[in-house]
Amino acid sequence: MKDAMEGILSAADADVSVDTSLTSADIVFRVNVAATPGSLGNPNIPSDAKGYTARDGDIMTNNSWVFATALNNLGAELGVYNNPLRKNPNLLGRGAGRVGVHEFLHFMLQVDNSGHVPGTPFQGEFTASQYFGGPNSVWVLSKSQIAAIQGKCGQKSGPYGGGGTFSGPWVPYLYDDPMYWNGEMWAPGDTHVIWVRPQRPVVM
Amino acid sequence: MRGNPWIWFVLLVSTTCAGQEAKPQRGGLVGSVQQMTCNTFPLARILLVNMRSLETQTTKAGEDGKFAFTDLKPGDYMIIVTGTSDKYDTCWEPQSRQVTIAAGKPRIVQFTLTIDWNRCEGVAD
Repeated sequence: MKDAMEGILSAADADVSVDTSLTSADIVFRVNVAATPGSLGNPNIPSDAKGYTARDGDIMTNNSWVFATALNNLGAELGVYNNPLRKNPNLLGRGAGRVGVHEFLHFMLQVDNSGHVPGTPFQGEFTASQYFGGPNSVWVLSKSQIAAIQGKCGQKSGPYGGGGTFSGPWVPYLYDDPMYWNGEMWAPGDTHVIWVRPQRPVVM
Repeated sequence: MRGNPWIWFVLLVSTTCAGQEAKPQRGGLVGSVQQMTCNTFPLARILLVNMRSLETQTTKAGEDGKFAFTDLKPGDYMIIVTGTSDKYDTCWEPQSRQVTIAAGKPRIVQFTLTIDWNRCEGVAD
């Protein structure tokens, strides 16, 4: 899950880090893994939601959830022989990471579902193959999304970060994000933190 | 000297007692913060108020949601736990609890923060 998030966000070449605290990172974004939306105690969240970001008035907050059961069910809907998770349960971690990035974009862009952008990680809905499959252009940040992230975070290549520059299209990593459903290595209850080191002055 | 153990006993007791007088017993508090979905709550803010002197101390939970206060004067304290101070972390209902800190072993507390759904909503995908 962590790798999937890092893979997509690395294209932004920004001071954003998953689970590794950045010095002077005074904004954090929590990605919590929960089994179902019911555990949040809000009946307005649809039971088939894959992700959720809390909102306070016009502000998208820094708290989000990824719902493992809904993702798992999405794979199961394809049937026993077509369910990618049956062949490789680790792919659930990849899907969860991709949901986490989508929720992070709600926070970074400070927009609700009306701002969804088709063909990008910020589109409204995804298929099972888009969640669990290999490289897909839908998981490549658009130029405007990269610009938005860089506009709010220090750039790695900028005065507050290390080296490296973004050059053209980037392909998400092709690996299986380790996880084991039903118990072990990765499970509801895990919390990932995306650290954001904003530019000075903070532009959010 | 070797033949008089009583002298050694008196010396030992007096030294131990003198040490205790010089260093009053203190207590401690260790805790953890999680949220309603049982996920840890990194970076929560914790305010500790001594109910007698009204002195306050603050700390921040770690990435694992854990926090600690050490070297506390025994007595009654109020603990208040909230989200972080930034403007994007406003949905949590603060939690508070009064505890009595005794000298010696630290008191252990756990807090579970919940979202105030009357004020906050969200976007589901």
